[in-house]
Amino acid sequence: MKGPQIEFVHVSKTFGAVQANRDVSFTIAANSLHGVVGENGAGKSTIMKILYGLYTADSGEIRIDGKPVKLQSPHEAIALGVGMVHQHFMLVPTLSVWENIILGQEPTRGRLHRHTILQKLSALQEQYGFSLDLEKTIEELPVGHQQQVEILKLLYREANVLILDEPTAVLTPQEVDTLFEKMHALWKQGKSIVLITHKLREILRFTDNITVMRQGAVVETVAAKGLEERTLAEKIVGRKLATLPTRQSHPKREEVLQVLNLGVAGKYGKPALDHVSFSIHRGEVVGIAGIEGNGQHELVEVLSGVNRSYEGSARLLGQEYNQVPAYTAKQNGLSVIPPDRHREAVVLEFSLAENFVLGHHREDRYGRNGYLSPTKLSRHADALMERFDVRPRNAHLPMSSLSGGNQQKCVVARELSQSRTDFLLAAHPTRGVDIGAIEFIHQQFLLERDKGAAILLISSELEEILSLSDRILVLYEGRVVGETTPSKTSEAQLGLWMTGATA
Amino acid sequence: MIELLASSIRLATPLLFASMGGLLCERAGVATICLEGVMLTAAWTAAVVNYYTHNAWLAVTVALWVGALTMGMHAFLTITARADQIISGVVVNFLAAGITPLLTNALFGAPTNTPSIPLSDRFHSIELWGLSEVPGLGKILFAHPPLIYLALALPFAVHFAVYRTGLGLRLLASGDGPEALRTAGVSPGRVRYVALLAGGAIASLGGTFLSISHTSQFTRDMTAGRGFIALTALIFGKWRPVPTFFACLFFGFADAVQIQLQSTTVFGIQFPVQFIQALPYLVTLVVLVGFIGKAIPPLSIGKRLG
Repeated sequence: MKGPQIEFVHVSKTFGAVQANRDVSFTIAANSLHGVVGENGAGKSTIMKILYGLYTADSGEIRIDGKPVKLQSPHEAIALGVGMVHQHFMLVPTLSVWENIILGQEPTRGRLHRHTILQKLSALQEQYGFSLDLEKTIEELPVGHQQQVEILKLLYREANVLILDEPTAVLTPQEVDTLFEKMHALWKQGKSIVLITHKLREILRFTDNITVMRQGAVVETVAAKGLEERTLAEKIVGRKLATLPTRQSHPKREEVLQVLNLGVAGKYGKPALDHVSFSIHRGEVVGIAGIEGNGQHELVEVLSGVNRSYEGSARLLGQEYNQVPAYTAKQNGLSVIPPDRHREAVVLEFSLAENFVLGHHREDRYGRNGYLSPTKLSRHADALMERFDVRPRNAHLPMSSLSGGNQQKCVVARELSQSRTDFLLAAHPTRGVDIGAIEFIHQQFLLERDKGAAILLISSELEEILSLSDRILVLYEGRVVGETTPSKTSEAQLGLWMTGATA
Repeated sequence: MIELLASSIRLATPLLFASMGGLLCERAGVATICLEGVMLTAAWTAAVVNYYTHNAWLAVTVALWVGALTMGMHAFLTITARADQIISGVVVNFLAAGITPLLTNALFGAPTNTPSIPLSDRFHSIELWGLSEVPGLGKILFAHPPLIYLALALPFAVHFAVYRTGLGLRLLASGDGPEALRTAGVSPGRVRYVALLAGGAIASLGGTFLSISHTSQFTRDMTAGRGFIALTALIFGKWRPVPTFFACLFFGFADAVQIQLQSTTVFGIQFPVQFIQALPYLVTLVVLVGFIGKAIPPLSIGKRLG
């Protein structure tokens, strides 16, 4: 069975005042490997959600195999053979793999015949080369396998076009390889694969044709063959990109952060952090590579002063973390960019001005005796927005009205605008942030480094770690299993360490 | 002792209906603190219908619909009007507590209670297959009016429906991952409506039992917090039917002991009635804090649908 040809013809879509898609036209050939790239908010997810029936276009039409179709719901899209794996998986964590796969397609009369269903699913797994344990619950599966469940769900519904929205954001390099192998196999069986991503290397490696989108419109559709990563990046942002300045080597100076035999208890009696030791000096960036869930979260909790019951020692400028409240640590040169922006870094309902003082609201420069001065807050916000290029420049907007990239710029602005930053703890600082903002945030980090800050960078993007760090530590199951420098290692090597293979 | 156990089962019955009804609602992802209100409107309806029509089964049927409609109001407020689930529950409870004495007053001239239903019109104990003659167990399990047998069988039926059928799968998905359900092409809002109407109907039986089987009239606020005890039982049972069944029996037992203690002296001391009446709740507190372990509610409970 061949994946059909899909045409977008002058499709437009607006949400309130925002034009998400503007006159979008392009064609996904039958049985093809097609990429859609663009920054956050470029409209790539929107156009695919229109194809998947989650949104309806305001104007324009979609043609499948030349016939115009009206897609009002995912149900209809699935019936036409179009399936989508969302960036955030649409799985019920407490249900088993097989239950998740049949959900929505299950017989609603009488009992579920588990045995028959399992047999059918096993046959499906065999046909497409999957080998998941169907009886495990989703919670028990690693992320890579959860994604395979999503793909199986589509295959169970006989999808011929598989749309993958940022599928590799949560995967290790090895899992990414597995995913692409599986996708390639599906393509050989006649399916079409549409890959939406902002990772240029992957799209160049995997797809044949690439549709570049910017500000809701299609810039062009190009062949991937022979295309340079940099050229593609510049097509996406619509301008020339600056190269990160190469640094002059700095001699080691004062030790800012010292972590010695740090231990934190974890679930099921296994330690979440196990005798972790390292130190960071002034003007040094240390990167932590690792698959999420290998102790990064606990490390952040200790080094941001949230978790005060740890074993061993963690000292910031000689001061043991659990001896001072987090608030004081922040006054004493600690800056933190937390991993989960919405939960830990900003209050979405608060205005930008209020978000800019969170965690520092007791300082005299914002008002006295517990009173926050609105004028001082606005003035402070205006200055920060100017300096860190936050858009739109309106300090009274709620944080929720900003794009992810601008929200993150606000967090960076708040953390790097304190009286001093001796230690910057940056966890996933560019997650869900577009290329332009990534470039900007990285530049800010390097500025701080050159001013003498010690930086700990935790990221699941190996590219980011490799390009910014002076030293790299690899965390696996709560232990540091490798230490190296960017010049001495590669993504493949780090990927191996991250999965527990010893050097 | 036999009387104590038989009484435990009688006292557990309204809790069983309410908690099984609540289970369907909460597993679908809707917090239902309005079980109390649902039981009240049903209790009132059953008492009035039984009194006028002399037909107990008709009373059960009409009360079933009224209970479903009461919960339907909660469904409308939380799903369609997107109100907060707790606030909507409080609204339904207050409304039920207010409207039942109002209507009692309108029909019978006094708000406190409806007239007593004559014995001949009420449910009678059914002695199943002569099993009540079995020494000990017989009187405990097999000499009850029909609603009690229904209550005892219900948790197992609910267990089957929730864990072994396609509709059950949708119910669980609606509670633990409504977004996943939606992308699978099923509307979680609809699943929740169905679950709440069914849950309301089941919970109504708890109220019906109180007014026309356990007693013979509706009295103001006669549910006396049983809707909340049923919720506690649901938490004890970690939102699973069979463990919840045992939690209800436990609460029924605690209540029966409490009633018995009221008429006895312990070590020559007659404890104040109020203290003894508080005992089941103290036990609840101790068990809740000490023995249950972590009860994780359905993941999307309390949250509006996106």
